[in-house]
Amino acid sequence: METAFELIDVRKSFPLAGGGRKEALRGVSIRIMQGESIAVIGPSGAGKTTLLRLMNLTLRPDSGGVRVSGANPEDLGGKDLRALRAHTGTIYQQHNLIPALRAVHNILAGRLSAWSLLRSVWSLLAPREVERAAGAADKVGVLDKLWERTDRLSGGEQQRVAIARALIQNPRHLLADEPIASVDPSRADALVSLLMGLSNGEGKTVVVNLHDVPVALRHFPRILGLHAGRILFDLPPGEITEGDLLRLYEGDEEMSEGETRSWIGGMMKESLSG
Amino acid sequence: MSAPIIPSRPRVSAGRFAILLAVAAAVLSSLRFTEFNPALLASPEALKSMAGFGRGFVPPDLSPDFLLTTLRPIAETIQLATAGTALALLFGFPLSLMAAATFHLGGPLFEGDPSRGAGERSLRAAPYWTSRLALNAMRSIPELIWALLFVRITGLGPAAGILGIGVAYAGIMGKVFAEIMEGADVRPTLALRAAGASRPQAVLYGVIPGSFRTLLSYSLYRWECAMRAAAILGFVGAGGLGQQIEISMRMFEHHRTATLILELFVLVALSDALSAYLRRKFG
Repeated sequence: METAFELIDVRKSFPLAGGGRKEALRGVSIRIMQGESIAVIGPSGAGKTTLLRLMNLTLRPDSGGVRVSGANPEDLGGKDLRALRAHTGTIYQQHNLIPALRAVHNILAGRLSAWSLLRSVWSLLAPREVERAAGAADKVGVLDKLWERTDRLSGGEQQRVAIARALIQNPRHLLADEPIASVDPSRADALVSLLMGLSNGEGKTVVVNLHDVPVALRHFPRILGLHAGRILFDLPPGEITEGDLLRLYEGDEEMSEGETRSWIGGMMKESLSG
Repeated sequence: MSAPIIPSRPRVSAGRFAILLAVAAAVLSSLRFTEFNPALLASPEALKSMAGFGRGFVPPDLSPDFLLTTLRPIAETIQLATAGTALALLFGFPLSLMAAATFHLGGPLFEGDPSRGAGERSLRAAPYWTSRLALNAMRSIPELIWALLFVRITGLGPAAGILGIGVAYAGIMGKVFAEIMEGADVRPTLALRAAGASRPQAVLYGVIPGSFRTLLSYSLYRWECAMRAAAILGFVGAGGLGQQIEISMRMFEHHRTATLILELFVLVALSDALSAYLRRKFG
């Protein structure tokens, strides 16, 4: 089986506003095979987004190596690097759409890697491959919004446009950063199922950052626990113990130890029953 | 309930106070230097000459014959401003793309790319520095001076005025455009790069649409400014209302000067309103 992502002892730090550096990742090694579905969980600040940006090649590690579909981006330049980036579609927490463009253009932006510059310019004036955009919009249920300006859509509709953009790219791997953070809790499961359904049938790799532990445990066969820039565990959900989760959220600034304990206890019950 | 303890108010720092004093000193000394004396305006002689000048304006010459002859200068002023702004856009926009630091010196267009060493970095910096230099040069010379220079080449007439506004405004618009684009949200552009878009594609689909409304709004504001500038340029023979004002003043036809100034006032007010309306509609 082919490797989708490989991270080899990756370290990454960022300069802090007040001087000094924040170590976002301190030596992370993982191997993710083509077609796998993985949830990355951990407290905020654990390095989940940094991990995702290293995988979609918009960040470079300070040390260590990253491979996507077996290729080393450091060996590539220009066109080849762009082709490798096109292997991966990303869905962002803030959607990162262009508000002033119509939904159709935001969806078609997923085709840019396949388009020449001339075709891209032309498409802004007279949209190209509209059937393709409509097909993707239909799959996620925003077909009727195709010609709306993106900033006139609701948050949920914008998220669907963002998913359609990733789909039209026809990527081998799909990454999602907190896709359910701004979604109504009752629809979180449906959204994760949608993402998995759109990907797994076609053998796509799916890696999702989630703050919602029960949702992660319910849907994903492999769970990566990230704590303070290190991998704490890499386990199937059935093998994760209450102790693992306690250590994962240990020292979380937003909760006292007692709160963490009762929160995790509740989650374990919920994920077992659900 | 006890009264809340109010946190102590931060004091004005000595540094800020010194700056305030320096500004006040600069304003006062420049007034002295230019020998500006408000009392002069109120002196009996000044008041008398002002009254005489003012009386000359009343009533404005509103005869249909004269009003008809002013239609052409009005149209010329509008054309001067519009053609000048269009020319400024034509030069200023490409220059602004070259002058935006995020396009050449880093930013979302380069994030995650393997570094290619100092050679490529300085190659990238070249268009940035050349365009900044060009924009600074164009901007630091006012449109009036540019027009005077162009009069030597094109002769008297609207062409010199259009070129004058075009060059000076290209400098201003290029710089402001570059700053608008540098300040826009980078995340959508970065998302396009992450999906495999080239740098020009990311600019086309991310940066430009992301700043489009601000760019359009600022261009309309500049067109409005160009209308006023066009009137001044008339004084150096660039045509339009300004030229007619200058001629009528030289001929001591104060009734006509009054009409022309009123017309200019109405024209600027109308372009103000139109640009405000368009900015509300599209901005």
